[in-house]
Order: sequence, then structure tokens, then C-alpha cells
Amino acid sequence: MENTRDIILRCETMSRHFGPTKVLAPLDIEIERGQIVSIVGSSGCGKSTILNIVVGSLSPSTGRILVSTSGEEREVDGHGRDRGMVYQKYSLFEHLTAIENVAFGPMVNETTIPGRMAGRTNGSWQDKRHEHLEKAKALLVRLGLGDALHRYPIQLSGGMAQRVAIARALIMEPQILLLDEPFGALDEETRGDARQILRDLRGKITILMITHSLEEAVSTGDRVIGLSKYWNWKEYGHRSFPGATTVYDKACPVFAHADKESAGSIMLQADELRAVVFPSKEEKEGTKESTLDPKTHCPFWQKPRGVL
Amino acid sequence: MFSKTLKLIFTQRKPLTPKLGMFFSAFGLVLVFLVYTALAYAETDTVPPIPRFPLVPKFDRLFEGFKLLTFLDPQSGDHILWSDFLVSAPRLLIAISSTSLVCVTLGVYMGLYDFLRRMFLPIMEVVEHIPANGMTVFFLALFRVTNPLFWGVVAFGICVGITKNVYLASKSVSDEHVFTAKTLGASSQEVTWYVVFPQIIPQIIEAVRQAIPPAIVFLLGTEWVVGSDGIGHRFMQLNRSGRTFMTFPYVMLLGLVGLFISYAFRKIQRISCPWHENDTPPDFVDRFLARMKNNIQTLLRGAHKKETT
Repeated sequence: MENTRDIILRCETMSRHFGPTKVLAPLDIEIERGQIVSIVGSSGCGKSTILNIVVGSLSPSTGRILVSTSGEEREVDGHGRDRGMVYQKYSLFEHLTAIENVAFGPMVNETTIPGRMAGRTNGSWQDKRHEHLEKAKALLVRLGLGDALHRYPIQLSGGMAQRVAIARALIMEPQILLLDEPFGALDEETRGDARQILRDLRGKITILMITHSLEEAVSTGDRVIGLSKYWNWKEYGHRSFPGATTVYDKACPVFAHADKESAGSIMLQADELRAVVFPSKEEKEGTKESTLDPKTHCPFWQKPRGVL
Repeated sequence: MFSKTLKLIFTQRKPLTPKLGMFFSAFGLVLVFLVYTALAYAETDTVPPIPRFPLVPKFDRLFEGFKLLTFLDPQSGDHILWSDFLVSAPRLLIAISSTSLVCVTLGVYMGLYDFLRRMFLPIMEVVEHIPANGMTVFFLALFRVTNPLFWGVVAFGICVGITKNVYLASKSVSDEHVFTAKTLGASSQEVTWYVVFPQIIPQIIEAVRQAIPPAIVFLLGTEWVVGSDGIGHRFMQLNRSGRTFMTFPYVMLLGLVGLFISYAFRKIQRISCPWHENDTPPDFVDRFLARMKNNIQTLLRGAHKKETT
């Protein structure tokens, strides 16, 4: 069974601390190709840290990240175009229009600075540019932004900006797409549209998505990973707090029931997730120690040895 | 009605109606005019008059001074204003443009590379407290009374301000922008010149605009002390002979030129950065410039199409 899984991302005893503050305890996580994985957890439990390590913006304090995006498994060392990232605040380049934002990736990949400078006089740059803009236009039209091609980010609504950000990442055809609270600033209707975009990508690219909405995590993802700072780390022999760990890792209804969404099962799993991932009032105040064992709710892909 | 208006005027953070706003703008000007008139006439009455050149000249004398400045000088045959301008303006232009080029580049990189920040920021903290005119002696020893002396003093005076403003702007570009560009395949130079630099152009233009008034002060001060020509030297001559009736219109003209430069910079900022949020709505100049820009772009696109077909 183990050998048949096509693993695209493997975190081996990956941990991270910032000075004396330990954010992530050593984690072992494996992600299968084509999965949509939702990551949930309370604020400060290291969700964004995981994405930043995977994308290459941060390096892990211990352990390593392996990706199989080019045929063979290799260790992550910095940024790479095989991993795209979309942030909550979209991070669109303010000085570029929607279409220029999307065409930015092809531009920097397929042309060089001297080539662009020389091309301005002989026309070769313009031809290449035209090609990139056409590609960006096609993608934006597909995402329903045909009317907003030449608008600057300040002229776009939150939902539009988010779709441009997703298009900008998708044009590079990344094999892993990392979404840091992508729908956090959107209204309910726009969130629905954006979720549909992700569902359309299911099976085509691997997606890791941080979200604060548990229902969204369960209904959009094939699998949900819950992180928490509140777990029984003393029982694992740690003398001081080692950081947050995965306390929940299960398949979601969509995945488990062959794409048949069931409102009931979504709500049930969201409730279970809420009970496991979010601490009680006493645990938060420090008057009661958590007895939560990470193994209890991690029967899926995650290897519990990582927390030991 | 009157109490309502009073309440509106004295309510904090409450914008006035357009008419009231115009009234207060005009009132400010009238106030300055009244204070000047009072000073000009009070001097004649109370201070023993100096027959030819009173300290605060009346309006007829100001007008006479203005004429002397703007028309040919009968003694030297020179056009005072124009000949001074031809000496000082190139000095200012060269000093500001070359300093801006270096300081903008340094500021952009300081916001991206920590080693540059650590190398230069402490030095800047010291340098910004040194009055530039105090360095005149140093530059005098280095260059004698040549143009590089003036460039040096002005550059010394404005370099820290420009670099620091640009550095802060460069630093304010979020990590997310930088990381996103890298995930899209941008090299370090592309991140610098295609992501960070274009996004901070409005702040760069503002930094250079803000550097112009102190640059003028440093240049005029140096010309006053060691110069043998230029606006500052002229001020020194006029001051020595007590010709305030010529100095005042000169200062006012300089103020108007400064106002125009400031306005021009704002227009450049708006036309070159249409994506940047502006506090003021576009005026007829903005609309004209935008139309010109569109026309040029259409022309260029047409030329390219013609070339490719």
C-alpha cells in the first residue's frame, strides 16, 4: 500500500524555531500528488511557517523537505517555480495591471534583462511579450476576469484580486500550489466562486491551503491537517515545549466518499476538528495541561513518529 | 446659520465646505499681504528712514526692483535674473540628479540587503546631523572655487534624506512581494528592478521633490559665502548694498519657481504611476498629460505593428 502512493512532498522531521521561541515540533508529513490538503489551527501554531518552509522562504531548523516535481526526489533549497504561493493579501504587484501581473512569471522565465533591453529596439522582445500577454489573457478570461485585464490591483475587488493572484501562480504551471488563507478577505459569495476554482484543480496540481474556516477546510480539501500547540508533549519526554504539532490528519468527506459532498458529514467532521484542534479555555489559560495525544486523530498519512 | 458655520470650522477632523475652504485659503494670503503692508508703512513712520533703501520696501519700490531684475541691467548690460539662473540652475540640476541616481540605487538595495543597511545606516545617522554648509571648507580645499565645490556641498546636504526615504520605501515593500516574484522565477536583479523599484517610484519622486528646497538653500548659502556668481552671490551683493527692494521680488520669484517645480513633480508622479493612490482629484493638466501619454503609446504600438507586418 505504502509503495503505491505517489508522494510529491515529504517533510522529514521538519521543525522551526525563531530564536528561543519554538514554533514547530519535528514533523513528518507526506502529501500525495494531486491532493488538496487543508491546514487548520489556532493563530500562532505555525501554519504559515509550514508553507513558508515548503515554498523556500524559510529554512527548517531541523529536518528537510523533499519534493518530487521533476521526476526524482530532491531537497528543497530556496524558491523554485515548481512551487507557487498565493497569500491572503494577494500580493499583486501594484504597478502592473491584472494581465501584466499574470504575465510576469513567463516574462522573467523566458527572457533575460539584457534580452529585454536589447529587444526594445529590435522588436523581438515585443513579440515574446505579446505571446506572454495572450497566454495571461486566456487564463484570466477562463477565471472570469475578461473585463478586468487592464485594471490595476487597487481597481480590483477582493475576489478579483484573489483570482488574479491564483492565475499568476497557475500560469507557471506549478506542481505544488500553496495558499495562505486565500479566502480570508472575501465575502461569502466570492468565497464560493474561489472554492470552485480550487475544486476544478483537484487532481491536476497539489494544493496546500491554510484556512480559518473549518467547514471550508473540510468541504474543499481531500484531507485536513490540524495543528495545535496544546498536546501532551511531556509524555513524549520533552523537557520544554517543543512547538506545535499535527494533532489531526484525516481524509475529508469529499475524498472519502468519491466526490459526493454530504453536508452532514462535513459538519460532523468540522465539529470533530474543532474539538481536537482548538484548546479549551483552561488549556489556553494554562490552568490545565493538555492530555491530547497527537496519535489519536492522525490515522491517515501522517506518521506519528515525527512527534516523538 | 452663523453658529453652524462656526461649529463646522472648529470641529476637529471635519472637512470644510468648498466655499469655506476657498475663503480660508484667500484669507491666508490676505493676512500675509496685510502684515507686509503694515510693516512697510510702519517702518517709514517709526524708524528713521534710510532715504534710498528702506528695509521693508513699499509696493512701488518692489515693482521697481522686479523690473530691474527681469529687464536688462543698464550698468552691466546683463539680464540679472537670467544670468544668475544660467549659473545656479545647472549646478543644482547636476548636483540633484547625480546625487539622486546614486542615493536611489543605494536606498533600494539597502531595503533589500541587510549588510548594506548595517554598513550605511549608522554613518547616515551621523552625517544627517552635520550641517552641509559647514562642509564648505572641506570641499573648498578639495576643489577650490569650481563647480564641483557647489555640487559637493549640495550632494552632502541632500544625500542622507534621499537615501533614507528610498531605503524606508524599499523596506516597506512586503516580503510576500519579494517571495512571490522568486517563486515565479525572478532573479535577485529582477526582484530589485522589476518588482521593488517600480513599486516605490512614487516615494522616490517624493523623496527627490523634498530634497529640492534644502538643495537650493545649500547652493545659495555656498554661493553667498565663496561664490563669485550665481543667485546666492547676487543675494550677498544685494544684501550688502541694502537693496531689499530687489531681494524681496527675487525671493518671491524663487518661491514661485519652487512651487512650479513641486507641482511638476506631482504631475510626473501621477502620470508615471497611474496605479498610485492620490489624495487630490486629477486636474486639467493631468487629463492633458494622460491623453498625450495614450497618444504616444498608440503611436508606438502602431509603429511596432507596421514593423512586424
